[in-house]
Amino acid sequence: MTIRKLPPWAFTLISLGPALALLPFVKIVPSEAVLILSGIAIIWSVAFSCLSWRRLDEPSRAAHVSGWLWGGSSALFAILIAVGVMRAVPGASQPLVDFIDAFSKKHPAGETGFVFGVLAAAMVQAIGYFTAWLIWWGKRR
Amino acid sequence: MTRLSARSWRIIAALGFWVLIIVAWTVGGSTGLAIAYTAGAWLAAFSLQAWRRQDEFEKSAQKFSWMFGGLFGLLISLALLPAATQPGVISPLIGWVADALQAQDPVTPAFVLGAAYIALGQLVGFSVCWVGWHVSKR
Repeated sequence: MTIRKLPPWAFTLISLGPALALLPFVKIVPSEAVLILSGIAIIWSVAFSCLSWRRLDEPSRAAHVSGWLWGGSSALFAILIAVGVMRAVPGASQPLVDFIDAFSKKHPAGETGFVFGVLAAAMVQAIGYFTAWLIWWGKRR
Repeated sequence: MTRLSARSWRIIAALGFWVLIIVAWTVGGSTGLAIAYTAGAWLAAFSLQAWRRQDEFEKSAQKFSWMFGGLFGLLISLALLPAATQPGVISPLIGWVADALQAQDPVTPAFVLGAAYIALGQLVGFSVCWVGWHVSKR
C-alpha cells in the first residue's frame, strides 16, 4: 500500500507519532534538544493532520468541528475554572507545587509552572475534544 | 430583550466580560477571583444566547474559526514557548499575576498564566480567522 492510499486515521496516527515518541525522553534529553524536537513534532503533526483532513468525508469533518467547538472550548473553560479553585481553596495547589518543584531542578519553579500550565490546558482541551468527538459518533451510530 | 440580534448578544457578552475582567484585575485577591468567575459565567451565558440566534452562515464562520483559528492559535502559542519562557519575558508577567492573585508561591500564578496563555492564543487565532472568513465571503 502506498502512502497516497492510506486512510485518514492512518495519517492521524502518523501525525501523533513523533510527539508521543518524544514523551518518555523528556526528562533524559537536554531541554534545548526537547524544544527543538517538539518544534519538529508540531510541524510534522500539522502537515499530516492537513493530509488527514483532506481525505475525510463530510460527517467525519463535522465530528471534528463539533468536537473541537463543544468539547475543546468546554474543557478550556473547565481548566480556567479549576485553576481558580486551586488558588481559592487553601492547600489545593500544594500537590501541584510539590510536583513542579520536584521537576524543576534545572529551571526556576515559575518557568516550569508556566510550562505545566500550558501543557495542562492543552491536554485537558485534547481530552474534551476527544470526548465530544466520541459522543458525536455515539449519537449517530 | 428577547428580540435582540445575535450581534447585540455578542457585544453584551464581550463588553461585560472585559469590563468584569478589568474590575477583577483591579480588585485582586479572592474577591477579584469571584468577579473573574462571574465574568466567565457572563461570557458563557450571553455567548450561548448569541449562538442560538445566529443563522447558519454565522454558525459556520464560528465553527470554522474555532476549529482552524483556535487550533493554529494553540500551535503558534506552543511554538512561541521558547520565547515566552525567557526570564526577561516571563518573570515580570508572573510577578504581575502573583500581585493580582496575592499568591505566596511563584508556581500557582505561573500555572494560571500558562493556562491563560493558551486560552489567549486561541482567542487571537479565532479572531484573526473569523475576520478573514468574513472578508473572504463578502
